[in-house]
Amino acid sequence: MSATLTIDWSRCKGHGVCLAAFGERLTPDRWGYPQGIPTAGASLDDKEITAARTAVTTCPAAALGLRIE
Amino acid sequence: MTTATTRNTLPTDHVPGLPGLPVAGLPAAPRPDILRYTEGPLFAGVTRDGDRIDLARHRALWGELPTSDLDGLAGYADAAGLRGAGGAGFPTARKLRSMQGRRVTQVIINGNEGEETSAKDGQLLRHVPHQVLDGAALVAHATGTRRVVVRLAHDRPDVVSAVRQALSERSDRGISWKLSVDEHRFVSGEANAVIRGVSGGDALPHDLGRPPSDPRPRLGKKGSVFLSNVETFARLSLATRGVRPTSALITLSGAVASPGVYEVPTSWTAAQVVARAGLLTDPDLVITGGWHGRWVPWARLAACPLGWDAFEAVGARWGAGVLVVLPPGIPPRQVLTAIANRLAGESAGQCGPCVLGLPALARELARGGSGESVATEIDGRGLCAHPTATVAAVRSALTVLGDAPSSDRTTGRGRA
Ligand code: SF4
Ligand code: SF4
Repeated sequence: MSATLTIDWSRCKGHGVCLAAFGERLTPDRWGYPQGIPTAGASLDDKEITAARTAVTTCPAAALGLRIE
Repeated sequence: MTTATTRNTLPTDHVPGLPGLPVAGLPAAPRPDILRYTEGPLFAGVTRDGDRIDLARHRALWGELPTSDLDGLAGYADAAGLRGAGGAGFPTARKLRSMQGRRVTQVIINGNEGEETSAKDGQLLRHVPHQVLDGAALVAHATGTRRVVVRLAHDRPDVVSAVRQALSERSDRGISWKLSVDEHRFVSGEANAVIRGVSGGDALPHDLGRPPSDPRPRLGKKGSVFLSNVETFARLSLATRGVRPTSALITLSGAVASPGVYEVPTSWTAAQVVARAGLLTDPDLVITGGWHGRWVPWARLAACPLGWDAFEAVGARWGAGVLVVLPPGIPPRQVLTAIANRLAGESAGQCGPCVLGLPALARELARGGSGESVATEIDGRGLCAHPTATVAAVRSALTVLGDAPSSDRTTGRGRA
């Protein structure tokens, strides 16, 4: 099983809610958009999944996705 | 432009500016939309600019449409080493094979050719439309699709009317042709060919001709779309007829006497094709692959043969076969700033790091900086390849200008 965090840049409005939820991996850029999610998605450790899921569910723009395979 | 022939002619009114890009008091040059020279199979039968090979002549030259299934087509594409000629260079055979077992709803011939540095697709459609249409018909038959769409930009009415006329001559059984004329918009050399891996590593080719509103492959209930560039379809048609890919198609502009489209043997070097176009002066720098491409010192490119691999080997980019010779006497930094501004303006306006990042990068460059701290915050982000490709082009320019920042630059991917 592998987990990947993805972002839809056309939805992300830089609210930064995800940064608070998943600060271990996501850092703000100069405009407040999250850094740390490459185009192909950020692959996560098992212990990161909970925080990532919080970020996904609390993002007001529904810009984040969690893919579990 | 109707007076030109396929022999080299030197127009007297030529402005050696950059296509579509005014810079440093030099007015923008028009798109080099003229066929200057042909030595190869693509424009076979064309003896002067404006010669349209109609269906009867096309059939006399090339015979009836061959029949082939998808596997057969992929085999021809493989043997000819075909790659997407819209900029990204994705292997055509792989793209064809990825359609295997899918429901393909339409075939799209992408003739948008948005960047003014390129004119080859319009020239193919003006002169040899049936080679292009044959290529699409082959894919349509092989995928069991009825619908084939020719997508064009509205800013080249002569191309639109050439296609309209060509379509009126066709009577392909089982195909319904559609002409779709789009509002003109810059087409990125790279952003138009994003290969998006979808879940399970199932990479689907995707090369919409512009930063798309949603670049994800169209899958699902409605089925897939086979979209490719004009030149790719023409080359597929030739490959299926057993013609070896012996020519390169290149659009030359900037400081050459005869900007335009050149079909030349692949054995030619960059110096040979530029000499054919009439060098105004010994170039110092050239931009390869369009505004999203790579800057290279002419000394490094001159002896290079034409094509993807050879260009890549010297740090250049073939892209859609674009070569812009930088006019002497214009500070290259001003050219770079103008290009960065242009590319910033092409952001499709939906992804923060692209919408905010590209103008910030352009401002930094205008101030004389490298913009690298902004560049690392753009690189690898956004829904399509436009911002990342822009950053790569800017970095290549700064490198050849000797202005590359000392740190971070070679680390590549940025922070995403
Ligand atoms: S919470 Fe959502 S919209 Fe806000 S910055 Fe994070 S991903 Fe973007
Ligand atoms: S990355 Fe830029 S050009 Fe591409 S879709 Fe997003 S805003 Fe548009």
